Amino acid sequence: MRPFSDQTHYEILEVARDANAEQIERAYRIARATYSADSLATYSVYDDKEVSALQERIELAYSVLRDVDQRAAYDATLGGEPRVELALSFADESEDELEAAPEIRGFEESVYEGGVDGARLRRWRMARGIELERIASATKIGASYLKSLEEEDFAALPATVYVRGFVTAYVRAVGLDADRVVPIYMQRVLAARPEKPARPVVRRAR
Amino acid sequence: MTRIADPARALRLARAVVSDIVLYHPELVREGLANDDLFERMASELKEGRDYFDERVEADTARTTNAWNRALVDVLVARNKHVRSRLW
Repeated sequence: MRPFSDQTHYEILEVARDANAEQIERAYRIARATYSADSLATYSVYDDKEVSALQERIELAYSVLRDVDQRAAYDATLGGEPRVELALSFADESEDELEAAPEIRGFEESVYEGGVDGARLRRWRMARGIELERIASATKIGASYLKSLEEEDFAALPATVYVRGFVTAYVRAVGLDADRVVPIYMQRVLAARPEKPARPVVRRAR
Repeated sequence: MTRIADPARALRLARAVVSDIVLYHPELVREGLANDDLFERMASELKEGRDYFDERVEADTARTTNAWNRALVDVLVARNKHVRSRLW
């Protein structure tokens, strides 16, 4: 078994990637009870420090997976099979058709060459005729957050780790190369504001 | 920049533009529907959106598809039926 620190939130709670809210809630209750300080299951298996670390991982996993926005952002960082279909604009047209579209051709390179900012991302999205509400619906990221990305209203966004997930999901949804675009955009985020803490501190009751 | 000639793309662009107008001006939409003066109240925002649409779409395509007006009905009006209004 991989160390707990290397496991995903889903593995920590032992739920599937497509688990619903009820399944996550139930898994969390079971995990919390299993790894409580006085649990027979952990007695003689883990020392106090290990149990404390486990409890923190369980709380963190639950806090992320129970929140729709945070979960979508986290999913976007996992890679592999996404929980939701992100390639919105491609469902009803082939890549060949997109390549042939004169209003799209050449625009992508201009985005990269001119650097990436919120306004350019919005122009790219509009050039493809993709509604922000549609991205919000598919990614489960609030439209207000997506709007904030385009407006570069970074103060309205959550912790940076989640912003990275939002940007990744957005960029994929509008059909841009996340490996190229996300680092450029994130430089703008990091330059504009200090890091926010990514998770709550969970203290063990004594 | 080459203009859009494909009707489906023209309609999609119109919906994206109108959807952004709604997203950026929710209060104007609500007040406009509630007071039955939506198009007067949002005249400048709609003109800006329409100008952008016209810049991007071939005139023939815009006229034959009626994409802009369809988007107004589908996105601006129909999606906001939860707003209390004399219109419905």
